[in-house]
Amino acid sequence: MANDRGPASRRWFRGGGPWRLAVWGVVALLLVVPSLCFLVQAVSPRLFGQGRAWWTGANVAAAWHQGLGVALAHSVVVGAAAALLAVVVAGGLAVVVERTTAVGRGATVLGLWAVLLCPSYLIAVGWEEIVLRAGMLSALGLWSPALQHLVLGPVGVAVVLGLKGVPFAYFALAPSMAAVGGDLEHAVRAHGGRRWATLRVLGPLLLPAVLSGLVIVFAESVGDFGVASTIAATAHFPVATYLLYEAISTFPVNFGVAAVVGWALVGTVGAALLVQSGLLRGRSFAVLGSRGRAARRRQLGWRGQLGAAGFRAAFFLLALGVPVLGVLFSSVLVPFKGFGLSALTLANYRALLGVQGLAGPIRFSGEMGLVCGLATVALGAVLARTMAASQRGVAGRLLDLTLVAAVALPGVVFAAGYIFAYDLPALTRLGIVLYGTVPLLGMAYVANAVPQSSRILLGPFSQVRDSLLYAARVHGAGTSRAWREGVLPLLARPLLWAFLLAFAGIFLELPISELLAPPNVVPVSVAVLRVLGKADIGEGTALSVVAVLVVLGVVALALGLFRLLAPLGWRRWSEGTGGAEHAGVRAARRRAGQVGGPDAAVGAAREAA
Amino acid sequence: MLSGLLAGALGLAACSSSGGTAQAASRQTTQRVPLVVYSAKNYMPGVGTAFTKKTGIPVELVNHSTGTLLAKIQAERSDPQWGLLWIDGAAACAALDQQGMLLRGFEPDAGQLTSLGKELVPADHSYVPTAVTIAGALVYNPKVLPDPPSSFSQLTEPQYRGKVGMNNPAISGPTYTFVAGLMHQLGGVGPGEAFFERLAANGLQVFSTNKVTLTALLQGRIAMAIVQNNAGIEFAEKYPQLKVVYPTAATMLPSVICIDGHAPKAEVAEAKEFADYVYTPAGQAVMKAVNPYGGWPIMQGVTPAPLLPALSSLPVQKIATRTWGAREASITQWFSEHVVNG
Amino acid sequence: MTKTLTQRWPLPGRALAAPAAVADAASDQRGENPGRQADGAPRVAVDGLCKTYGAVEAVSDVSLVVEPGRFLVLLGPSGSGKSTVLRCIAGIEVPSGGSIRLGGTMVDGPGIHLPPERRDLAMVFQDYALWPHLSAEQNVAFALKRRSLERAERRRLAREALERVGLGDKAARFPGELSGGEQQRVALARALVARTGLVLFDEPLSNLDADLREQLRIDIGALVRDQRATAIYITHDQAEAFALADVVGVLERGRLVQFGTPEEIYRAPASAFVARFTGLAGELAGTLADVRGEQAVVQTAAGALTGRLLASGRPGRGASAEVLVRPSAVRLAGEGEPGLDGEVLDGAFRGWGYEHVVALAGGRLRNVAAPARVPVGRRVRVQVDPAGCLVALRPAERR
Repeated sequence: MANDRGPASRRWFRGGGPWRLAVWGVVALLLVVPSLCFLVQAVSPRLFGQGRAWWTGANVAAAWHQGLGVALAHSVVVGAAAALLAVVVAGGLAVVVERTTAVGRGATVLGLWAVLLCPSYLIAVGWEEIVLRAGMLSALGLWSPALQHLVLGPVGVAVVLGLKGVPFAYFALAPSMAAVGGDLEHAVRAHGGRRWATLRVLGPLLLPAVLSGLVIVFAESVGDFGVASTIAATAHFPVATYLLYEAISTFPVNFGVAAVVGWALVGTVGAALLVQSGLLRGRSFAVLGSRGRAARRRQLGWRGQLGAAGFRAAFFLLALGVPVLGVLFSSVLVPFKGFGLSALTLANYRALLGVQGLAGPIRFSGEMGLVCGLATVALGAVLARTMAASQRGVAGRLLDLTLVAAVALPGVVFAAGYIFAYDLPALTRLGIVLYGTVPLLGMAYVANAVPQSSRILLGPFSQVRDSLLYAARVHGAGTSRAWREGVLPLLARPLLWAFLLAFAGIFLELPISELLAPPNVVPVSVAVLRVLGKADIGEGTALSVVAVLVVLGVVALALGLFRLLAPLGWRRWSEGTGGAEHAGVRAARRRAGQVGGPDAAVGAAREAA
Repeated sequence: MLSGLLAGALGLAACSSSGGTAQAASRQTTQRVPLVVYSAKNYMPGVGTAFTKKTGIPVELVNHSTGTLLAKIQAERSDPQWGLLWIDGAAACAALDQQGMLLRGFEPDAGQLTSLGKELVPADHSYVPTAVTIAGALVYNPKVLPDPPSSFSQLTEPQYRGKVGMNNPAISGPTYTFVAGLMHQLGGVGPGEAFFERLAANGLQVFSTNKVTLTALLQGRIAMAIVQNNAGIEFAEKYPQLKVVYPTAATMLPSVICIDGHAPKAEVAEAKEFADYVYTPAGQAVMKAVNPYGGWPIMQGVTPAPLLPALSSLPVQKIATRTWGAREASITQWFSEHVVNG
Repeated sequence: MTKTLTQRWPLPGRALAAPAAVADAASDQRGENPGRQADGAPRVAVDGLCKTYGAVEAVSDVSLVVEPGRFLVLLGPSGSGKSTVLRCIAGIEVPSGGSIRLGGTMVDGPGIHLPPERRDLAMVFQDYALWPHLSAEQNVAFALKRRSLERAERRRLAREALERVGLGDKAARFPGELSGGEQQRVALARALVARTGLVLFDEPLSNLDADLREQLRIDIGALVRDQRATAIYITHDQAEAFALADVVGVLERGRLVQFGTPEEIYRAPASAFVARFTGLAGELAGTLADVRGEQAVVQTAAGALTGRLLASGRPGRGASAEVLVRPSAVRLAGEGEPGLDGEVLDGAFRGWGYEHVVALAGGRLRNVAAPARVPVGRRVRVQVDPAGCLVALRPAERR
């Protein structure tokens, strides 16, 4: 009976032409134009004074010669393996958290956020330290060449990327995992289906979510540089992003080749999206939109509890425990002294405390993180809302592609692209002086952070029922009050997390800070790099530990403030499982449980689509 | 400790340049635009601060690795933002000069260059050498490796199998000079490539930058690291177990200053003044105080820091900047294909 | 369909009793309040309303007028556009054409679109649309923010509204802690608390269980009339429509196909569609045997049936026709009574008596009332009251 208010009815809140134009304008200025300015160098170096040719295929040939084919193949294989691993693990976690009574479900979700906040290079360095640091494992009697070979090779690259991708896959999967089931599951059981049959029947319903999880982890992995520059480089396992890094680091700088690699990355992700939409074409998952009871949680006996706990412990041990241990150890170990208590020192931390002149950079980056983090979340929310509302349209798909492609492009591409796009005499003549200013740096920070942010917010925003907005407006609230009082409180927690993620990313961001910070302005990452320029990895990891502690401190502070200051109603939707579960999801799910409000499941399906 | 040194140096500079202050005052009438310095040298901001103090010219500093700075300059070609560039490696400046980006025909009039210094000055005066470092020094732990090679050509011997680590010349600029120098010593590109192929077959490990290669040494993954000498010395100072030696042939890597030929006139004038200042005894003193490992001085009457061995005692060679600079792209690309990913 | 009020009555006369009573009450009101209501209920005038989504025309050329204080129910199946009409009136959708006036104000028209918050109306949603982060009282008080009132006054009014819907003791609860019926009562309180002149209902009962639905329907009717507001209510359930409405509009594929009192619609549906949608026991196909004024005789396989001719014009004899039979018009013939021959397929106890499904030659009839259960398979005769029969011509035969 709700058919006569199909997708089209969302149009009104999607806004008319001007609204959409503004959204696209911002996306173009922040993301599309700079990226294209960079990517166009692949075939037309002269456009930005990088060569003589207006049009050339030489860069493509050069990139091929430098091993683009092999590197790309490596990236694709590793990315696909990482995506599979992430989705399988995330699926398991989602079952445990969404469908069972396992203890510590809230803590699990918090842990996933911690993995999300942890830079991939830190996880990689931690693992490297564990298997490489002479004596550490052998002292424990655990060292074996086979293990070292395994970790420092394609398998290690894929596993680390996969572990890092689990939170993304989880956020894509969890809502569907919660929504698919209930009556549908009972129907299978009632007709004599066993557990496997249930999986076979309900599995396809999860397909959109699974595919969207696969695509996003694939894009994150293919575009990752943290693992590429550590484990992959150590293992002489060239991947595409490393090739791009080489092309930009080499002298004379070869932006053309770097741009070709950039196209390859975008193309790869584009192909993945095509496969995704191809697999979904012609299938109707409208059944998700039918009324259904929320899935019942499976009561776990002690064996089940033990299994669920063991599974999660294993995941967090591999994704966080081992690497953190590695990083911690390497930051307190004296080189050449073997492994033992006498070889431990806090000298690296003392050395860090002795470093002067970090206060200014910390304040600057803190402020940038705050301001740009807020801007990122605001824009991310708008984009998430726009995508959620128009996912089936061409514009929605294009936006999706743009943002996923942006995920696959390393930050250095934006940084260089911003120089090409905004360091132009023509702009100066027009009186637009953006280049070499803090606002432009901020724009680049936002551009770099917003694809991830919008991706994370897409789920919660898809699940906000439009009727909550309509109800506010019909009862006398203007658009802004309708959002402010009627909807945003429901999304308070995901918004907070998205902000913290953006803050952490911006606070520690390096390539953009290097290339775009105005003279005399020193972001914290640049200052750290300068301090570390001559220091070894011990000090480096000590600093990483401190930086992550700082970020965790900010996270704890923000969450604490939220708990103290947010009204009861804002929090109650996310406190049931004690964690950071999406408020909107829970609200929608309760709804689905009681009245079969179709939007909850539709939202899940949308997010997945 | 660092700040104490700096303060002392500044005091020194202030004392020895009382004559210069009057000169600066007389120029107060000309317009003071900020001088934008792109610097990869650890002399900044110390030298810049001293310079501003002396001349009143405000310095805006962009301080990154050489590679990052060159990428930034390259990307900014549409509308160059820099005024003065101070890096290790004449080849990069020569390449910028060939693209017509540099101010030519400028020579600081302060101070006297040593004979080595004079040899480093290019014919078209498109850049100004300020010191000399060694592109490839060998860092090792004598306890782990009792018999280091005396010449790089010995690295292909079986006893060094899997023990050698170096930087990727595609990522670390100074490493290209090392590779080029070794090729030069071996008789050219052909024999050089053959050598590196043998070295790769002997288990050469390639890391991205000095820091990463030296860390691999600490971790015990390699027994010797080929890095730029100043990075090696700093590291050895922190870990006294390590030794820095200079096998044949150690290739010179000059530190150079070059000036943006298209910068506004006022800024070019200020950049010249900066180069001048670096050549003055006061400037040299600040350099030494701020970064004692920065390199061997090339000004007459200036002694190197005590940590640096006498340059004359080392088997040093110089390579033709233009010839080898022109080959950089093709050689690093070859290296990537055949040694790094081969 | 069988659980609706009107169809429960075994005899034709009683079947229409309830709507008739409502109609009487409505005409009383009409007499009392010919113009605008004292407390500001507006007249709603929709003129030529169109709404298209891309190539799809959801609503085309709908015109209707609701007098102040009257209760309009828009009735139609899913996809008929009734929701779209309501949402256009609410201001949630922007019409593609036509105009909407609320009282003296044009709120939609060429170049005019007043946003919902400036239309001074209230609405109850199908999914309740309560804000889960606000308590029941806060939800209700939200709708008062547009009235410049003291906070304490807002609270008092919100409490009072909750009292009126019977939830005075649950003001502090959050929606998640209330049952579905209670949530919809909160939504009702929210819609009534600000005493807006126009209240809109978007299938408010469709998510509720049957018994709750009945109770809340009665409350909605009473409270809205008590407030003397103009009300527009959409539903796909004709029993709900007939029970609540002063006037009913029936929508079919985006068009308003009939507009009138419940009685008019039931007695004289404008088309076979309206007839089917307002409840049938069955349909029997045949050929037109005779036409006498508004009455027509159709020869079906089961026998000749008389009914009211739906189509105007002069259909010829022998044309294909269908007899649409209202539930209230069929009952089992007693001993010796005439009727159509058939066989009982099913019997169901309805409390007031029994209903049977009877197979006739060429079709079957449901809702065949009888005072006692007749075993399945028994040959019976069915009496069909011509007053509850409608004759529709097959579209292809229409001239």
